[in-house]
Amino acid sequence: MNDKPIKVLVVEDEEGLADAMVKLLKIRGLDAFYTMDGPEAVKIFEEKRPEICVIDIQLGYSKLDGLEVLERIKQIDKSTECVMVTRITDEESIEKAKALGATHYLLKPLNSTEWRDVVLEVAEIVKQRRQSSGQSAT
Amino acid sequence: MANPLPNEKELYERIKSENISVHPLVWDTMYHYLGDYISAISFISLLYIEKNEPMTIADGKRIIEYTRKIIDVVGKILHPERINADGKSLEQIKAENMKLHPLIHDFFTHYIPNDTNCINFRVSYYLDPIDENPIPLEEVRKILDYTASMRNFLDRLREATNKGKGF
Repeated sequence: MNDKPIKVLVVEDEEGLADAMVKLLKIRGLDAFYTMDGPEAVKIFEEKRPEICVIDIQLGYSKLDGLEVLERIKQIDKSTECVMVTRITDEESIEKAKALGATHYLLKPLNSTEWRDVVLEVAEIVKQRRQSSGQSAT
Repeated sequence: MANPLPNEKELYERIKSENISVHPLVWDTMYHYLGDYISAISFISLLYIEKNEPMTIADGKRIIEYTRKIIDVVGKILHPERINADGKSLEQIKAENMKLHPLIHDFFTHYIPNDTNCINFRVSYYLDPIDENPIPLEEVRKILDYTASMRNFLDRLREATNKGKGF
C-alpha cells in the first residue's frame, strides 16, 4: 500500500489547464487524473478513492459546483485532503470551503509553481500518514 | 515583462487617494476569464520546465489560443459596447455600461495586452508553417515570467482599487 503512488483527482473545467495540471503531477510521481464535471468528480472519487482532491470552486455549467463536490467528498471520506481553487473575488466561497474541511485554497490566476508546491506538500502529509498507519498496524 | 509606466507610483497613489475603484462585477468577470487563461499558460509552461524539454508546437498553438482569448476578454472589458452574447456577466457589464475609469483603462491597456502580445510573438516565431521548431526552454521560462507579470499587475491594481470597498 505504501509504495503505491498517491492518487490525486483534479476537478477543473478549463480542459487545457486540467490537462497540464495532471501532467505536472505525473512528472512528480503522483497518480493524477482529472474531470471537468462535478457529478462525475463524485463518481470518480467513489470508484478510485484518491487521497487528494484539487477542486475548482467555479465549475461552469456543471450541475454541482466545487463546494458541493467538496461537501460530498467529505461525506464519503472525511480524511481526504482537499485543495480548493477559486478567484480572489469569491471570499464567501473561501470561507465556506474552510468550514467544509478544505485545508488549502489557491487563487486564480494561479502561480503554477506555488500550486505544484502546495500539492506536493499535501502529498507529503499523506505519505507520512500512510507510513504511520503502516507502523501502527505492525 | 511590460515596462512599468514612468509615473506608475504616482498613478497608484492617485487611485488610492481618489478612491478610484473597479465595479465588483467587472473584477469578478476579469478574474473568471483571465484567471483560467493566464493559469493555463503558466501550467503548460511549467510542465516543460519541469521536463527540461522544449515546448511542442501543439502546446505552442494552445498558448496562442489562450493569448487570443485574453486579448478578446480585455478588449470587451475596455470597450463594453463590443460585448455581444458573451455570457451573463459580460452582458450585464454592457447593459449597465460599466466603463473603467480612464486611469484604470490606461493601466489595463498597458500591462495585460503588452505581456500577452509578448507571449504571442515569442511563441508565434516558432510556429512558422514552413519550418516549425519546438519552442526553446529559455523562451518557455520567459513565457512563465510574463504570466507572473500579469498576475502581479492584477494584484497591485486590485490592492490599489480596493480601498474602502472591503470585498
